[in-house]
Amino acid sequence: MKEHALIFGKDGSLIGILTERDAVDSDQAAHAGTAALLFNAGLIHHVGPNRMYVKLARKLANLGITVLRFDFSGIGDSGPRRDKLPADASMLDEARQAMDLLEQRYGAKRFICIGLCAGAAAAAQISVNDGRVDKAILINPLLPKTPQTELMYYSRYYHKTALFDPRSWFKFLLLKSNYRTLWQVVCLRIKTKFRFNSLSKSELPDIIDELKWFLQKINTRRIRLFLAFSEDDIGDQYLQSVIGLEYNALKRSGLMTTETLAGADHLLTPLVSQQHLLDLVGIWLNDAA
Amino acid sequence: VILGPESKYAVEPFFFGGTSGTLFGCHHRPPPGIAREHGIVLCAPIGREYIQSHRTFYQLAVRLARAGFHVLRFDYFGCGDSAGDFENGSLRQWTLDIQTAADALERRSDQKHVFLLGMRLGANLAMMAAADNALLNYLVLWEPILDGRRYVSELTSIQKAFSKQFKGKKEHKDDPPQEVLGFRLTDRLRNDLEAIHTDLLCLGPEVRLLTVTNQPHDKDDDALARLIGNHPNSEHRMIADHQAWYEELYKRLIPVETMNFVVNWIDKAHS
Repeated sequence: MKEHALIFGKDGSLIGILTERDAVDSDQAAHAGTAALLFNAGLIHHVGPNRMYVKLARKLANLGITVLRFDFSGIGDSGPRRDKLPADASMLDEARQAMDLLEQRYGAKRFICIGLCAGAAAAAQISVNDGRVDKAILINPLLPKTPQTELMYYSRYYHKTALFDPRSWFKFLLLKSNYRTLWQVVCLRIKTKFRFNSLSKSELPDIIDELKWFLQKINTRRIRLFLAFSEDDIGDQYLQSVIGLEYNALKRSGLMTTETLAGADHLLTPLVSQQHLLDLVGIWLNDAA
Repeated sequence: VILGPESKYAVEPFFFGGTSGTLFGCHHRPPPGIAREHGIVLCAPIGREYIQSHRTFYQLAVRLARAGFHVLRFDYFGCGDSAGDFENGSLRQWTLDIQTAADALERRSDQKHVFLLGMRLGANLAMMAAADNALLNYLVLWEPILDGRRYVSELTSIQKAFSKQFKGKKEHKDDPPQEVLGFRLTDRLRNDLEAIHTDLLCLGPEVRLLTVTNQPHDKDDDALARLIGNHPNSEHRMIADHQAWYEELYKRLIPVETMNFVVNWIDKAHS
């Protein structure tokens, strides 16, 4: 396996690390011509949370996939952008430049977009905007900050932490808890337990439209999608409750695979959950090839 | 590898060390015509602290380069973009990596003298590298680890608090954790870290030393005093500022005051 530092972009200020196999064996030929891109998880530079992107890149390279982990402008080692392009447009432009580079210099024909948290949101957006992408791996995608998601985070906290903490019960009995939020959480859990799309009317219409548009594009473009959610993450619950019908239809179509990472937090801190993800991604990629 | 139009960006990423280049670094070049005689190698913390402080190191490197210094940020073996797995690293290996980085910066910039600036464990590693090489005689230690046992005990508490949040993942009360916030803590590394003690770090009188801390050191005051008190050429400054190695990145908090102080101190030391 080889790793090189790359400088690219219009003004040569985007920095990334390319990981590739020394030579591709016959059993790796299934991934020939495939390159993967890993996108920044928020402001964390291209090594990823807990150095997870380095591990992922090396794992994929061992499967015969060329991988580029790079920093968007203004993040990590890359320099700031000199023009006034808005953040979303800049992200698409820089991802396109990265794909052009991999296509021209490394013979890539197909691309896999990968990201965690904000990187997953970026990977999702880039996947449906560039015809060269045929697979996407989204890990704990960043969710919109709305009253619904906030309640779900509360629900997760009550269910996993407060319920087992004597101090929370003490506070509850002393009438010092936030009963309004507690009541809202109880209602939310009842509502979302029995019905898909149960929150679709209470969520912001723009968000619902955007999510539906994304799933529709995935379906039309026949992009293979791998979604991984940590046990501690609300992503799956949220998607089930706002676009559950469309989400489950895509799952049934075979285009989308979802997995839950037991014992994992949002950033995949436990080593066992990091390994779990690496194993699942390896299996999925071999199946999808 | 440089692709596309000639880069105007003054940061050059590269691999160095070993026969095939096992360490990753970013060389920040000063603007043309103002290069100083000294280069500076930045020695990062490890594990989660490395990731949290990356932005601060980038900003610090940019400021130092603007002040005329060639600066090298780099990753130790098994850390960041460098080759290897974290669990195969050791304090000895990482100290040697600092020497390798200093050599690489000398070659790339034609600088004969190299300054070391380290944060947290990186500060201790910089001290160890300076103790091995008399030419590395300017040191900036940013919040060094003053007591290894306490450091390991803090890491253990952090990991146990984290594990407690996940049902079924609780570690036995008395078992030392095998990992700390996403990074393997091997017995060897734990023993190495526990052995850190400022009494053991002998720096010669020729070393010029600045120690900067961002938090008051009640329990460590003795250790800090031992580190700097008997040294004829040392200075200490406590600056109440953001703890770069600890702050969540999304908060975008950079310890600007500390960075400005450090850059000015280095600037004056060379004027």
